[in-house]
Amino acid sequence: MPMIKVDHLERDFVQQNIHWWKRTSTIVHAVRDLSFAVQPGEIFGLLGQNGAGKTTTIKTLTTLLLPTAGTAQVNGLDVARDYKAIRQHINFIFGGELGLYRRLSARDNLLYFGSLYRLPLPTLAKRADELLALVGLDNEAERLVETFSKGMIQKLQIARGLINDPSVLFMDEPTIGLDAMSVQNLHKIILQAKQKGTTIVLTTHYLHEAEVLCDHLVVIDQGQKVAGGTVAEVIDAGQKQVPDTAITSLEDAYIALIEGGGTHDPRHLGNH
Amino acid sequence: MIHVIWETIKVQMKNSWARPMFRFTLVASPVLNTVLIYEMFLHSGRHDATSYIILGSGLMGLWSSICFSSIGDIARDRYMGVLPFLFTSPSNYNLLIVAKTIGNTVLASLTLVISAVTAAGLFRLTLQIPHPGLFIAALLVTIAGFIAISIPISYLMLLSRKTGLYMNVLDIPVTLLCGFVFPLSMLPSWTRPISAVLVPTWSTRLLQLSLRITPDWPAWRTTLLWNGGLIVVYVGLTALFWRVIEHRVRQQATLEVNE
Amino acid sequence: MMTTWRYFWLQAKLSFKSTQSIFKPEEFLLLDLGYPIISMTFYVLLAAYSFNPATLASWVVGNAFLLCIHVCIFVMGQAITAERAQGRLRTVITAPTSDLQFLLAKGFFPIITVFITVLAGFIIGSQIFHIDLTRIAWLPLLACIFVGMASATAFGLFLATFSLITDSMHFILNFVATGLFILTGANFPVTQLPLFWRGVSQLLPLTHSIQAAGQVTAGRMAGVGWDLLIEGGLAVLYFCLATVAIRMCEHYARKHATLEMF
Ligand SMILES: Nc1ncnc2c1ncn2[C@@H]1O[C@H](COP(=O)(O)OP(=O)(O)OP(=O)(O)O)[C@@H](O)[C@H]1O
Ligand SMILES: [Mg+2]
Repeated sequence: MPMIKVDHLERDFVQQNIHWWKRTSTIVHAVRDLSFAVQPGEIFGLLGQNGAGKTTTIKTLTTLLLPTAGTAQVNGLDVARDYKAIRQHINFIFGGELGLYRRLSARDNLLYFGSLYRLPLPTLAKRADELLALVGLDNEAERLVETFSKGMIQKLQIARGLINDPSVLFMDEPTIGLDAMSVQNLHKIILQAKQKGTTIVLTTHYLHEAEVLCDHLVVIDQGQKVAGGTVAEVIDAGQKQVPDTAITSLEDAYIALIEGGGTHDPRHLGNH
Repeated sequence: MIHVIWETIKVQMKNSWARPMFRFTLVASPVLNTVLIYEMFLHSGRHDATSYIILGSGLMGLWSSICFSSIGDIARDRYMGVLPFLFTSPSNYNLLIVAKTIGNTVLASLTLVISAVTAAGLFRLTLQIPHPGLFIAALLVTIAGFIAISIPISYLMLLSRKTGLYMNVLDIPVTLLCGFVFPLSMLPSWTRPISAVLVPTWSTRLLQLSLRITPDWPAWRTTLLWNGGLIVVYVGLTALFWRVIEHRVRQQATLEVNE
Repeated sequence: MMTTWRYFWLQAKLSFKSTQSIFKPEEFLLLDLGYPIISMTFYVLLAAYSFNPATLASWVVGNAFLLCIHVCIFVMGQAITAERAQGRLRTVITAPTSDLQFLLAKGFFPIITVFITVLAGFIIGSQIFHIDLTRIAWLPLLACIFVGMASATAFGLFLATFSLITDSMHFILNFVATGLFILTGANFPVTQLPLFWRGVSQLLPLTHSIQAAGQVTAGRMAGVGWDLLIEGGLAVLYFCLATVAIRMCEHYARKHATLEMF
């Protein structure tokens, strides 16, 4: 049974536009008829342009947004109905500098979030220290987060995401702002987590990263899936778009898929 | 240059008005203050109660709008991270502060009207103005004085990261020390010198003088002199800060947020 | 039970720590000591002029209670706004710890600190305005302060949930804070209010505890127990309302995503 099953998922947003005196609203179809499945213990990539709907898909899977139509299941549980149960087993990391207590030390942040997940108290401190060592922040453990650099914050986010030892970990652009060494280190952490059986869903704009890490991936364009499968399968699909040029990397395939994918209908469907 | 100032004043008034918090201090706050002070003076039997209720709550509102707008603007700019851009942009930030303050203060004078309307509407209480000309003159001097005092304070805010903190802390002490809602004789005598160097003290006195049926000319003269003298001093301070701050800000990196 | 309490303690401690900055003497003097005393002095002096009463005791008590507004209304009222703005709300909401526990843990230390502020304000105010402290029944007075602070904190947390549906929190909180000055009977008797507003004042936090504390400082005990009971009931009510509101808002936010809640 797949760990995650997304079935004809749709998610609309109502966007308010304020003109001089009248207010109009436009419906944006952020995710349209999206289906895919993620097997237990694999690393799964979501690729797509800015605004393609990756974050929206992840927010739906992490129970932060309800689907407009279609269904999605995590660990056999429905994201709309059984969200409480899902939350026990997942965690997520959103790229960027938000999401932590800036006035607390790195270690206190982990203790706090760990206590929210009701980790056994005797081992909580140990777990926090292990994670800090894992992401390479053990020397900065007692420093206040407000004194951290972008990359250090990102590392702490990763530690926070692992605090409850989730069986599914969602990562939205986790390597944003990291230096080359830290990216390598994060890749190692991701692969380690995979070895322990954690299922990982990640988005990234670095196609090389996706190529190295992902077992399966989908390419989304304007909320719709344009290709999916293993890296080799996606390269094949890209090759089909441009039969005359030889495609060897995921990057080339991705560009071919996005450029050739302009056939579907416009996403913004009039006024409302 | 006049054009730039005028445009900034206009934009500032529009922007400020768009903020709910500004509308609160401008509209809701004087209404509520008028209610509170009215209820407190209800059974006082004091002959000056009406002037304290209407003018006093209006002046309280005027001062707190200034605290939250002119002085708060710097806090907001800092918080949104635009202060560094404004500061390094080719247009003169000093000039912008002056223009913004003028815009805010002019708009904030509405609180006086709102207090009067509230008192009339809710409690059928109106201020008797025996000499409208004198009253308007006093009002103009008051507004000039409030503008003059808020500019150097705005500058001081540039020096500190804790702008939000001072913005809140300046509100009540000035109301207390300048005698907006009760005579300064209620205060211990050691506070007199502090009250004396704050121009709103003298603006308040001028407004009260303008309500007398027979104008007390000698009192007018001294009060006007104090108003004028202090305004000149504040302008001098502004010029001084203008120089010092340019340097200090870069030295101490107070432009970025640190909340 | 024991473990829940220990989680709670850890969370309360860390929540509190996360709102504190490094101790700076000038900030403490200005914000935690100077400003409250000056604002209290302002209202008591205003009462001294307008009411010209024999003793200012009841104004000192009332305005000392109102010193909690800074923490209970403004800090608590923005608790959720801050969580959201800093992008932590999504983690807090998806973690298995209940929303109520989260809110209670957030309110725990603030209640204690405002308790001390109010008590100190009362004692300092009494010195300034020459109020005789020797005849006061301290235990009932402390009870009044404690119950009052609990309900004001709960009220603040309840207001905080509004931030999930509006972006004008500053406005609302200021409005409410000024409203408390008018409606809780701290500055003039609630009997002066029109009937409707008198009703509202009975549902607001602080009104009953200020009334009770006023009695205690005047050396009377009539009605004190009853007032404290109602105030305690309001505390429970507002905590429950806050929890229900946060659940409803969560569902709304998942559906409409209009709130940029997460
Ligand atoms: N809360 C919202 N309200 C209205 N529209 C939204 C909202 N969130 C996202 N959208 C819209 O939905 C679409 C998909 O956004 P989403 O954040 O999922 O993109 P993404 O693939 O994560 O992009 P990026 O690579 O830039 O992070 C965009 O057009 C965006 O403007
Ligand atoms: Mg995204």
